[in-house]
Amino acid sequence: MQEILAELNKTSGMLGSAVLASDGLVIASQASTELQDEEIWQHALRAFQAFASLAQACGCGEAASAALEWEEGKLVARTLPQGTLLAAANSECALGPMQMAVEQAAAAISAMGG
Amino acid sequence: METTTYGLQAADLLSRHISPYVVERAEKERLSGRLEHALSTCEEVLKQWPYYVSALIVLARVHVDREDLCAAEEALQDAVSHDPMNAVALTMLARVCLMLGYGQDAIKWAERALFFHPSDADARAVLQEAMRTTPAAETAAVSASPPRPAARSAAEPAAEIETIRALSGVTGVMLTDPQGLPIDGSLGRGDKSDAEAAARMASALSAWAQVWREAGRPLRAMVSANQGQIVIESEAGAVLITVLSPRVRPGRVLETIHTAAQRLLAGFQRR
Repeated sequence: MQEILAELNKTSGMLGSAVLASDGLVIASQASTELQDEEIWQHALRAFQAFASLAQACGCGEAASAALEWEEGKLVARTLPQGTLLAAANSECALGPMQMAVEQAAAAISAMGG
Repeated sequence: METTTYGLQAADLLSRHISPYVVERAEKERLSGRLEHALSTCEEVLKQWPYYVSALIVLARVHVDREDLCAAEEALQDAVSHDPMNAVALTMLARVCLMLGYGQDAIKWAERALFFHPSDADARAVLQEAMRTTPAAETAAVSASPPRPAARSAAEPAAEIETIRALSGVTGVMLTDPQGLPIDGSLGRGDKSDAEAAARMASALSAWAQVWREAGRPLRAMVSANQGQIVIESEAGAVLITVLSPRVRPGRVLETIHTAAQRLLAGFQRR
């Protein structure tokens, strides 16, 4: 899993990625210094879960992925059988290629099984 | 297992070696007058799990017993930001606001509790007391239940919202304030669903603010789910939620939504 995350992090502008269990336990992570604090990933997971809950309240069913963009960066979250894959990038990273890279990583991690 | 969305499940607690009974212990400590013990028990749990709503509620009770109503209000505001429909937290927040002399806030929170839990006798009692003790001029400013204030500028949001609603694949558009009150538009599933979505939106923004420890940053988000997609455009003063059908390719409508949202939200920033 670490290798898959390392490969994902080669995407231009990517700052780091992590796989977390639904309770916030960090299963694997590969990140720059500023993202090495597990708490940031746990907060990001909680935010994704909150947006997923919003999707349910809007009648959209179970959320599979989310992409968040703000002035300084981007965060993409993707559900996995094992938990959630999170990837963070700076503002220079284009969202489309980032989402594609996350999808590829998600497919590879899912193929590993639980 | 029955649980609130943001409340922590017992399994989560056990997996992190925190007994789910630790909050019960804090409550027993509080009831037996050992307030400092109860306080440190709650703080210990919340240090690890800041989203544990039950612990926040017990913490608020401890603060009330210690006559620190401002701290109690803060804990309860936290609780309702994580679990916006929690009847106990909403009603207690209304009561604490009343004790602090914030009649208008007390009415607002009690009304929200009753909106989600119409038969809640405690919330009704707090609302009646707040209505009785709050001057008429203040109560007139409070919106009636369900909480749906009038659009701040009726013409402007309506026009932009209609622009978005007219796009192919859009099934609902709603403008809310960051605290979770619908302002204009609708997701098309009734007032109660709109209010719940607005409350969830506030909760999601609160969770997002925790990531960077800063609230109010402009944010664009797109959530893809199995029965639809939502696009969120958030500025400091308002949030626009657009629901798309699962079949639509968002790329075709995203730019139009973004442009309309920027015009709309910039207007709210100026106010």
